[in-house]
Amino acid sequence: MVDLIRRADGRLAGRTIAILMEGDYVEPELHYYERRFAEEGARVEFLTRLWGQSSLTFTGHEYRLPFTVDGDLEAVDDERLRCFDALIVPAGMVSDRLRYSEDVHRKAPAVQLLRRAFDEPSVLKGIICHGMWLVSPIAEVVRGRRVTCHNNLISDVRNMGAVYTDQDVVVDGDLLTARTADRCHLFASTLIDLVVARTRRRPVHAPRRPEVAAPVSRAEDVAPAAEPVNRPGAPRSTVDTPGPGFSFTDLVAGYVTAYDADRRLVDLRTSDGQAVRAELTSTTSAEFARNLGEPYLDASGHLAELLTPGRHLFVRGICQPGGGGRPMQATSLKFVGRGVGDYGFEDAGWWTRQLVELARFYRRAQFGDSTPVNYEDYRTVLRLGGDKSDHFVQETDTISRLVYGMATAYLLTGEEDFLGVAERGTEYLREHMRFVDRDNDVVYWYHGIDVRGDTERKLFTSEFGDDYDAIPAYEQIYGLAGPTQTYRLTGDPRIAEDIEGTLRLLHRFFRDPERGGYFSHVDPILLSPHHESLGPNRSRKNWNSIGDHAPAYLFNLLLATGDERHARMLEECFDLIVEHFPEPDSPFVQERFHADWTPDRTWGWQQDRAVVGHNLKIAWNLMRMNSLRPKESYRRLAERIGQTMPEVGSDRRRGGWYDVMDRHPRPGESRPRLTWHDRKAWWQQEQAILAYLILAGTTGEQDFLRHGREAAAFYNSFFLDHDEGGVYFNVLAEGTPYLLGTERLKGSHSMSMYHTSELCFLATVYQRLLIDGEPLTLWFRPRPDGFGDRVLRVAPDALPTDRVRLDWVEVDGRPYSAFDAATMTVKLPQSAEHLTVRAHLVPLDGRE
Amino acid sequence: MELSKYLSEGTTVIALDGELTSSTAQRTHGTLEELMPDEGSVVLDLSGMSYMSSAGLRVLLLAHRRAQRSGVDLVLAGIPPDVRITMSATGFLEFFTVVDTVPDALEVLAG
Repeated sequence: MVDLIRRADGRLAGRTIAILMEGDYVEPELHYYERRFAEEGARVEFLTRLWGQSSLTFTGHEYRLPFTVDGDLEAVDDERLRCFDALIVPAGMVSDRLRYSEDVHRKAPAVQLLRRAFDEPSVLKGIICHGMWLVSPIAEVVRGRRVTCHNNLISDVRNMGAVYTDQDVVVDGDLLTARTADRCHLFASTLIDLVVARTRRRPVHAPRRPEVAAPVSRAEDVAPAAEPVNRPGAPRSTVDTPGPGFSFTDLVAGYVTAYDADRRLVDLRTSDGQAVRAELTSTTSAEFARNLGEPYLDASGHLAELLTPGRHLFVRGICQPGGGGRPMQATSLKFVGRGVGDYGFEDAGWWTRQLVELARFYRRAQFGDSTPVNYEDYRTVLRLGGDKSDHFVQETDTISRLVYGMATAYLLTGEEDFLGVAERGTEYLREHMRFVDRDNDVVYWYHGIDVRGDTERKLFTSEFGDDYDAIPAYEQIYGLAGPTQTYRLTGDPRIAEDIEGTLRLLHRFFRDPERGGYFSHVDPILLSPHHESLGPNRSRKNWNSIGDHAPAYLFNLLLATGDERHARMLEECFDLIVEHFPEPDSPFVQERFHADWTPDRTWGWQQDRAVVGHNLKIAWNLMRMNSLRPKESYRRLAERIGQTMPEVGSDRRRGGWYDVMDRHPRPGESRPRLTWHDRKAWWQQEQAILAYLILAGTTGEQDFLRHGREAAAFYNSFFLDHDEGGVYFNVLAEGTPYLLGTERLKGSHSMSMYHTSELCFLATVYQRLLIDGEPLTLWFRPRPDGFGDRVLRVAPDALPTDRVRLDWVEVDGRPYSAFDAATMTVKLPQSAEHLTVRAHLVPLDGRE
Repeated sequence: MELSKYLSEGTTVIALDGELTSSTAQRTHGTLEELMPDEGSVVLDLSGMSYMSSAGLRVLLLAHRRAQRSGVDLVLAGIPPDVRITMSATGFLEFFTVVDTVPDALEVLAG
């Protein structure tokens, strides 16, 4: 074996590429790798199973050329494995020979090494042509992942559960695959670029979608960059740059139309088609948007390749004083995906990873490491870093929402600790926050308790300004959010009783039996919605009391029980919404009403204003309702909101969605004004993402998909707190976090791991099952006394009936066959123990 | 439900006589609001209360909250056994200061 000279200044200087070897290898492929990687400065190590020899000499496929290997793959321990920047399984018969094991009960050493390499995200796996055969004994590592391979192996990779993709080269995170040995040059060049991009040798999320393999030129900043794809042709005067007499910082969200590498000018087009020009300088920084728990990923070494037409990115910069025409000076760039059209958050594991990070943050902040968790430690108020302050209040709703988040984290991951936190929270709510009113045979929930000192003080009515001295429907509704989600997993009959008791409260005291809908408040003594002590809350109905049941608990309750009553209650809610909420003279809904449904435009802070997030929430939930009971009126209103909201409620220049604004423009003005500020709130971004994902997934409209991606791009680029964990409450219009007052908190009356986790879960469900056509596995933990009829319902959300089916079920790790694929129900066995159920759902759209 | 009030050693004692149910709750709440002082200490003498429903519990809670907010010390005295069971079962009992008799209450408040 020739020890080739390595270029010391090559892009891969100091790196190691390991290549597995055996007989009947493809000669031109091996020789190419040897020289190509050395040319970049990398060290190449050939490894094989030596079978007790000091070296083995293999012969190649074409001319039986000898190739001697002395690298022992069985001697690669974890430390040495981590030193490999890439591990290649080459073409030819190498993989087949390497997968031979003399013991039918043990995997071959090469297979074991490859398995360990898959556990190390920092090691790039490169598998080409027939190389995928080596994965066959460990197929779980490619399940659901996109790969390409030799035509002969297409069925093999599908049997492994991977997603065969008809491309020459495919990148899926840390897995690179290529079609045939004669594409080894494309394979090698992509591999080189990926290794270079991993500047800190940390896990990288490359796009799930396949990259079209094209030779890429070197992206050194010192040397002249690659040929610009298009020279900017537009004259300067058409460029949109505001020109006041002072400079200011701003953010632009846009798609690259051209990049002039010589003059370092980037032309972008915003979501609504406005042209913006930015100038890069020697101090412009660039990064990839990253998930919680991921390290900073620098992109500044690749700008020439990244600034290709169609690329979606955020440019933050200083807009210069003076007249129009001057480009903004770009101070930093943020790319949202690796390839053009790719989004990091569309990678299979993104939202799940985010949910795990959030769950761990809140678990640690509230309970430390103690097991089991002690809810006496819980505090509603958490500071920016998760530490507690001197507030001693435990609000019912915030505990319930944390429980929702933890139950949802279990649903996606099966991590038992999260379920434990959810179950203990549910018990704590039952023991400390629940009032069983035997006279009226209802259950209601205290606002919260104050745990200062030795005694616990129950806070009976709401301390929150809008609802003082009244029982708001909102608090009873959200008190159910966490327990209901826990009930979906465990079937705990005690939760069912509490839910039923609260529903009786809502029906008996909050509901308007004549005109329909639910009143927003009742007085604390007589439980009447009409008592004069309620003041401006007397005899009123609002979005919270009319419709918030649906997302907070009612859909989840229906999914868990299949009970027709809940479907009817949902139908009543949405029929009232489509009848009363839309108004012809505004794209925004009317959300507050008197008992007789005449609009209330004089209430408190709302007046005649819109909450952008409520409009989006209505659109999102209408599409869920439409899946249960398809109605033209549901779909029409949802689509109308989806179509009209971006123009009025979103920031077309910077990305993201606004908060409260007037429902109508003032006379002489063309756009409604924002009310208090132009900040963007985390929970409202969630509504936009879910609304557009479900609209895109059910209607197939590309515009909806684009809005969903833009919303998710903004959220994932600016709301994730990489320093402290968790998510920011608010950001300024241009994306910088706003950290003052209650909006600085990670735990408060408003924020408690509910919206963030609902987003992670349902974005996963809609993205995978409705948009990408990929499977999803969910976890459940039914109790021995759970689900009286022993039927576990595993439908992930209210999805169109013909779109998803239950593919397989495991109970306690063993395949289980008593399930119905179409209704997505599992007939549980009687059991004295808790069961762990894994339900694997697949989309039904003809894709494999 | 009848309410009466007297002062004893600087402490306001309010006695509730009769049934405290949803039909009497509203009026009782209103009267209590008037009778409760804005400072000092209060004993609610419940020994004459023949029955208390959940509406009554809520009235007591609101009185407790009002006392807290104005910094008034509040003690319950003479809770009939049936009522005490209800209060205990619902968890209400734990966060009131409860004594057997009015003299006991005065002693607690003085000390």
